[in-house]
Amino acid sequence: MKVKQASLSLAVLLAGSVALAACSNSGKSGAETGNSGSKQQVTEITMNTLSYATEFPDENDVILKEFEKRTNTKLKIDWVPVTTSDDKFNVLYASGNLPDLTFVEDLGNQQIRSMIDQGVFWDLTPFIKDYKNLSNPAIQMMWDNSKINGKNYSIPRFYPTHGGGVFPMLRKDWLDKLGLKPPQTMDQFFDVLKAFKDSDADGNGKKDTVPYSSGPASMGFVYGVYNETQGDWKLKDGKLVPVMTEDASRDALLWIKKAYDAGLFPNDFAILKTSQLNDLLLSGKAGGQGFAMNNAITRTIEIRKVDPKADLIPLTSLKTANGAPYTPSTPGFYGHFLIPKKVPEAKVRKLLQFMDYGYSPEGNELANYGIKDVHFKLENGKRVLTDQFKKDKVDIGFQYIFLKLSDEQVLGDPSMADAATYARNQSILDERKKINVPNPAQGLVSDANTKLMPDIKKKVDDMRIKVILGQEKIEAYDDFIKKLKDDPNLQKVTKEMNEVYAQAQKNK
Amino acid sequence: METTGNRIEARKRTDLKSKTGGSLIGDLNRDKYLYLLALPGLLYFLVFKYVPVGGLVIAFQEYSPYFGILHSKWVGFEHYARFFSNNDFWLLLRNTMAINMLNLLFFFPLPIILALLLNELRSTVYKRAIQTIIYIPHFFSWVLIAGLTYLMLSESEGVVNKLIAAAGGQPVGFLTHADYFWGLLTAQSMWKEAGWGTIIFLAAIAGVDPQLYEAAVMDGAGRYRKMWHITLPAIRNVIVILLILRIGSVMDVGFEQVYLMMNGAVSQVADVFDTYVYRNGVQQGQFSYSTAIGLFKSIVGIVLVVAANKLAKRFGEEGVY
Amino acid sequence: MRRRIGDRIFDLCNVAVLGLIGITALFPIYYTFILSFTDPVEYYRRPLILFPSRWSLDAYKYLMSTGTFLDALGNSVFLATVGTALSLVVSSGLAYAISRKRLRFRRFIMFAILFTILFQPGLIPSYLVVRQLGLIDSIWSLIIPSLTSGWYVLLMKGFFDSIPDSLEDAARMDGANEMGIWFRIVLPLSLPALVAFGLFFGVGYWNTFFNAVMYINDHHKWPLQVILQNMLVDPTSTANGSAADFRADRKLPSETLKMAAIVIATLPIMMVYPFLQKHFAKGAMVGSVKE
Repeated sequence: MKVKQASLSLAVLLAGSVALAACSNSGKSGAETGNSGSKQQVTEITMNTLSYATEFPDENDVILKEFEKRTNTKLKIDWVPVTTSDDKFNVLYASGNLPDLTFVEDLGNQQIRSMIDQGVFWDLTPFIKDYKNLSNPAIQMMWDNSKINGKNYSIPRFYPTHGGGVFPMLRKDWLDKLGLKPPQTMDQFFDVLKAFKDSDADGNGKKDTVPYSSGPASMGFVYGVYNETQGDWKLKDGKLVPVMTEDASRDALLWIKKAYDAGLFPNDFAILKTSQLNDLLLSGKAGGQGFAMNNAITRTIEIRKVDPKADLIPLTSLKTANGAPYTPSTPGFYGHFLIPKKVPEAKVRKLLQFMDYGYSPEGNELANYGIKDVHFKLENGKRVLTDQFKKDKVDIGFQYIFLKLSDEQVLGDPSMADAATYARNQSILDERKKINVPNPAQGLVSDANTKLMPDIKKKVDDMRIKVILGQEKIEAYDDFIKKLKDDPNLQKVTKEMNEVYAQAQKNK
Repeated sequence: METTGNRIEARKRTDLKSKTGGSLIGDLNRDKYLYLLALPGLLYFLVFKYVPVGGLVIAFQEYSPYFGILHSKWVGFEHYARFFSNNDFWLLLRNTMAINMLNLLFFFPLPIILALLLNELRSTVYKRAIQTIIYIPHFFSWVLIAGLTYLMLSESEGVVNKLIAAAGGQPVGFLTHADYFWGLLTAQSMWKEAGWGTIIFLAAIAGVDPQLYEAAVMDGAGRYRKMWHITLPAIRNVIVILLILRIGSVMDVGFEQVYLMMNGAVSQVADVFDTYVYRNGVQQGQFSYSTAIGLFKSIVGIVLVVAANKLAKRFGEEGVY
Repeated sequence: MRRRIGDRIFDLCNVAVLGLIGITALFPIYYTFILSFTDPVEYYRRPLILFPSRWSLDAYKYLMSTGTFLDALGNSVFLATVGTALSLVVSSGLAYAISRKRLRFRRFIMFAILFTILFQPGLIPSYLVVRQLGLIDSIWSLIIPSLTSGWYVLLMKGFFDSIPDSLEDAARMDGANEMGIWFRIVLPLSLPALVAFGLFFGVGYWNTFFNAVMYINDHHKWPLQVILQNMLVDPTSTANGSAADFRADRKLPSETLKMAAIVIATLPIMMVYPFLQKHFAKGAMVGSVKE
């Protein structure tokens, strides 16, 4: 073994890298598990996570040190920046270079899924109940929704079910000026945007406002509203059907076309990139845009630099004339941590202990706000961040491992908004929590879906855009959908998805 | 120079040091320093290109990192069957070829022409200034260039359309009409890389012996004849090498550029192999499928290069091998 | 000698055409530069700014505020200098060797190099090689795996082709050894080419981004491009919403910020060119022969 690893041999490359890593590890596992012998021994933990920060903690980071002290660990964390993270993670998985706690953004990743099937990762189901914070009923949702074949292979990275996802937010100050209320139906939504268009809402003396700053990519919610479902699949008589061929999707398309024709979207709707759309909103010329809720506060601050009265209000829900209200929701997590089998069981427990601490109130507070009376102070029951918080850069690290367990995660930092606005957003969130739109295909993975769906989707998207821009008539769309329904590829995907769905139902 | 020339003659008669044809051992021994010079480079290619290139066999597997290359399931030509039977194969091929042909026709000669023109400038200061300015766009990312293109050509905000409107014309959807797409890509490439491309030719031109020009002037040669008979031949070797390599990459299209400029309204002419691979292979984590398509492109490339090289040799050029 | 009329007209047209091309390149450069110094609010009011009324250094201050900015700058300079030097040595050695027609296996080697241009190993096998060599998290992982490329070696060989064997023989008679010939005669003779390729390598190293993200986990070892890209990430507009909660001192990536990043990322390497230009002057080669 030693000789092989020391020299660069082709065999090493060709051999299953994961299998090899596992085998080399099992060889010396006797010596390595020494740390489970005495309880006082510090556990060394390697892990990685996806980070959106602009810089990253190093080994002397105050919070890292504190975590090590409190959990009796030695942490080696790789913070993977979001730029090119897809490639980085794919290479890490494929090369078998897996840390003790391996971050996975989406368990639907084909690569990860096959590795799970092949037994590369620990089934954590039997362990979870032993950890009181991880098994806290308040976050039971995330365990339920992340099951694969009825088992939990991952510790999900908690993210609240409501408040995330792309959904419209509008300029409340414009609504007030025009004496309008936040819309609740698609017709009202259209009328509000139309009013934005026809009045000089931004008050610059020209009717040059863009009512809703959006491109085709962030129009998914319209299809969701009309289909009263989330995701690409809809449940009909106990069977999954693709949303794209539904008549409701045709209605959604016609709504978008009507709005486009009425000038409610930017003229260059089809070609604008996200950053350009964002700029439109921040320039104060746009009446709204689709975002997760926390953007209401951060974007408002930016727009106020141009228009001091600006105020973005997230919509609670939208529905069709006679439909049920729709609001986006997520499965209760964003990302996962998986433990490779090469880690001995004793250490698995240590790792879970560490994760459990992050899900405890103190641990979660430490990760997100730092140390009490050093990085923040309690004033009237509210946390006020100190200068030390900034100095120690508390917000660049552990918030990307342990997201906040409170609504603050989706509402944003309370210190950035006035109390009334924050309370208003909180009440919108509370309203949203009452609505749960089904997402029947959530977490389902099928081979045919992975292989064939991207191109089918692309064709549908292209056709939709052509209809919206007027390059194709709706009749052409109807013909296209009719043909698509008979498409053997789509039928194959549908059949497989239903098999996977039936299997998943059985496992529940 | 004079004496050196004589010495060379003398040497040639007495010693065949620079000729091939001795025994193999003798040749190797004689040129051991040359091999020593080549060694680091050869090692580099061996370790970083040839060792990992073995990984391409996953094109014929259903590769799984857990099993590795040795133990993954062999599927033969299954990925190719899927790729070639894809309805869009011919469309992808057409778009890829069209974009590359336009590049070859319009973009490829531009740096050569620019280098020749720059070489003709009399004012050194002006020459250096122009050179420096036109080489800068190379440093701009495609994201920025896509943004600038939008600023210039978009239907609602574009400067060009504002001018058209001011002149009483109808705005043109340059970015959303299939007719303009290929031309747009070519123009972008020209703008971004032409100046940068001149560097290699300017370096080649710098190697020309000024005495040749002086001699030509003595013979009464004008500017065009100097250009044609001295400058161009001096850079011909470089042009041929670049051209052959370029032909080999005829299946590659700058992914980022196309991806950024693509939208639903033009995807009929914009979808190329690289965007297809990105959508179906890379984004889906299907390493085997992406590798299979990559390998297909490579094989087409090598066939074309070998053919082009043969052709070049027939015309008496050095070629690339 | 008096110039002919035709010549003058050519000169005039040439100056005009190149000037025009220069201007098309100049405008975006100017625009980028100006925008990077513009107050973002002004940009939002009217996107096409030719001259800002409110100048601002905020974008630069923000981009340079990272704790690792100086590390990154140092890393990039290290890559661009050490990397370029090594690349030139390795590439020119190989290129020169294969330009000598007497070399055995010459065509085989050339074809083998050409092969590497067309058959690129995938990301994962390359990563495994780098890992096996123990280069992960070492700055050398950004130099050694990108030391040279088939393109550059074959092109460089094209330049060496024009150096006659006879020159070597002459030097050999003067008592120079083989290494000495390469170093004292061949390389100086090829100075314009070396400068050009040095520029190519230098720019390549300076722009190191993808490999750095792949091979380096320790953020102190990242080059400038990676640091800047991270600053331009919009933490709040991901598909799912966002995993991040950020405080008031974090900036959303505005257009002005992006432009400033471009200026920081490109200005240092762009400045190198004017200093290299004199080597492209006519006759640089012959001048050194006469020495």
